[in-house]
Amino acid sequence: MKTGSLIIVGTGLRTVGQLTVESIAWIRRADKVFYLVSDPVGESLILQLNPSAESLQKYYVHGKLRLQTYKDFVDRIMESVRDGNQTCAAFYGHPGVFVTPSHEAIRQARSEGYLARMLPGISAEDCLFADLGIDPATSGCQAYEASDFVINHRKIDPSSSVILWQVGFVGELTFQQTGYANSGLPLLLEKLAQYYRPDHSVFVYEAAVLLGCEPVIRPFSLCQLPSVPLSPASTLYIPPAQTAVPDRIMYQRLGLTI
Amino acid sequence: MARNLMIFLLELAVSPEKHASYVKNPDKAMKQANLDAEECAALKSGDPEKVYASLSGQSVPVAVLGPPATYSICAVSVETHAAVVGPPATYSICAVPVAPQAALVGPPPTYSICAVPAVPQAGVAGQQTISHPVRRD
Repeated sequence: MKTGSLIIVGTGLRTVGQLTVESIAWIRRADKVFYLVSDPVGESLILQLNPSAESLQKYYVHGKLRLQTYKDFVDRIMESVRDGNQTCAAFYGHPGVFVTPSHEAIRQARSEGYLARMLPGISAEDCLFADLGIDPATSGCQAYEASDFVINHRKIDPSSSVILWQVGFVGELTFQQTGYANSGLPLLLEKLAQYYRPDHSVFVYEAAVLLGCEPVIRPFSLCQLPSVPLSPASTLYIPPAQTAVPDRIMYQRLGLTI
Repeated sequence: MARNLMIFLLELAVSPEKHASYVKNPDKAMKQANLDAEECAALKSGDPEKVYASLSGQSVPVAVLGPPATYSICAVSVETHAAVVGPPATYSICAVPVAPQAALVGPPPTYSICAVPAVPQAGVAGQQTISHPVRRD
């Protein structure tokens, strides 16, 4: 095995309280740390834990394809690994949930013979379940990235909870420094109208990133979505619209009664 | 810039003892950390913009725009996930009951289906009365 290695950690959405003990240990231990966090406390903390830490934020450039930015992340991380460093990359939230470059960096590192591992973190979905009081076991839970849901033939089960991520920039592939036009939102609504009544109650959710702050939870009717303020951190939660239909044959075969 | 507030939050992030003190008595913990009145007010406000402003000294923090996205769809070509394609199955359920191995026993389940069809979750409905800071982004 080569001397360089890669460990990918998550800082949680709210660094103060959600950064795990093992993540702190790996950040401290690393020869070189890279990070992308969502709050100034997270950035200061990582720099305090390891002065070698280098932000990846500089690769975001207005109008640049985000996929190219993520490729630049991976190239920089792998450069450190190939130099023989025990390298740690820290991403906000869970480093493997909605983080393209973390998975790619691990894939590349392993394919080149380096040790590479990801540690879980607290994701926005974890926060959503806690803040909205939802147990995904109760009704099931479908989750899609909003743009992916629009451009592909995804199907919704209206008896299940549905989470749509990144609804603040539907169909936008580049980074925008000053906010997103979100021009794909009408198409998202058009697809949702195939499954839900216009007055179906939905929620825009944003996890809290600072200690003492509450999450953003905005209840409204689906048809009101175009007038609701959305940010890049916004998530749409759609509660079930109908009850699940029991499969009577399966009930019988399992010896259960309805 | 509120230097004491930043130091205070950094300590809470890595010290369960100090975090516990804050949870138990926020005012006392902030006083012990020598936070000034403006810092205490910002932290107690529950308003992210005020906390950001106190930390950075800026009245309109960039962070209000939210974190940069770390995922993008690939609109050009979508490769089937290698792990999904995978090798042919090498395991099949066994109809004959097998004694569970210790490692497979695991923790007791904490959830059971209800054989009676469940009504859709009221879930978040009860949270509509919570007051949340409105973000002006």
